Amino acid sequence: MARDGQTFFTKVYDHAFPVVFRVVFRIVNSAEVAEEICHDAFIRFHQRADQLPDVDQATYWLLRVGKNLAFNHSKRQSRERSAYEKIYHEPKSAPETAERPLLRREAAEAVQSALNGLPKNLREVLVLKEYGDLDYQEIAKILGISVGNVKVRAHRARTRLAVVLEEKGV
Amino acid sequence: MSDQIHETDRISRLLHTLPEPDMEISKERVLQRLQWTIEVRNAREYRTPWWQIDVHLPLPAVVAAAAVILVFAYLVIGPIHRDSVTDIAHAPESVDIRVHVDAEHTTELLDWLNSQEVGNITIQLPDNAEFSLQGEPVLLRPEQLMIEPVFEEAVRE
Repeated sequence: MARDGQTFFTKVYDHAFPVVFRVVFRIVNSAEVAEEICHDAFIRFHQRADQLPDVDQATYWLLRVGKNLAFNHSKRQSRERSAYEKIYHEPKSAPETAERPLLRREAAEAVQSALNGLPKNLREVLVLKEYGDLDYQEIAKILGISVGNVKVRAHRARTRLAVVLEEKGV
Repeated sequence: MSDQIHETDRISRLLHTLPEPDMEISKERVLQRLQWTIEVRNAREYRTPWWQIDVHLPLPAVVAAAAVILVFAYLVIGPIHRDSVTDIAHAPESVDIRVHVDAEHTTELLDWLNSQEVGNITIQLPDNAEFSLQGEPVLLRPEQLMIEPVFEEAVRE
């Protein structure tokens, strides 16, 4: 790193970790996995920190990488789950984590499940908006789409979520 | 419009009711793992190549190793050297030694052979040798040919 690499890395870590972790956690629903993914994302960042001019750009980049890793993980996990169900003809329960007892609360589970049920393109916008503390313009930069498109997706995500939650009585 | 805003707020509030893990603990844990991973990677990247590594050996070990190598070299190379140079002088009589000599030096060779205490010597002349008669013809009687030099046979053949 041309500038003081260690200082820049620490600065970016302090600023970006809470946002990246929150977004990743909402996608994978596990603190352990979210930590794993954040670790991988920051290692990748460490390798190419030279190319990112400031803390904001680094944070957007980390959010993009973290979000992609999280969705890849979710996709892999859902494939494994459906394979398990095919073989044993019984649904495989999600792994027991420290957060599970709290998630057992009915409403929280319903919201989480409704969020998980959204298509990826809608879900990523909503997660970045709600848990990434980002405005539409920043989300557009991260996803590489127009601001208008972000707004449309956010609106569709909320509408679908509202419908599903209403059906569940939340 | 106000219904829509109200619905957006409601969804947002609901999404924020979801429980979250302790951020600080996770942050500290990931940072520790990151520091460890980065240290390991840096160590791997800057590892000295094997040909630049300083090796410290005790002097007695070096001397012993050198002695072993010298003895081994003598055992391997010694016999080859003796066979090729020294042992020619001590070769048994049955050894076949070929010496190439220019025609103009044959007299010297014959003189030298004559001075050696050797038994039978066979001289093989070149296959394409052509001999011309020189001097006056002499009549030889059979009793004068009792000892016939081997090289004369070779000439006849």
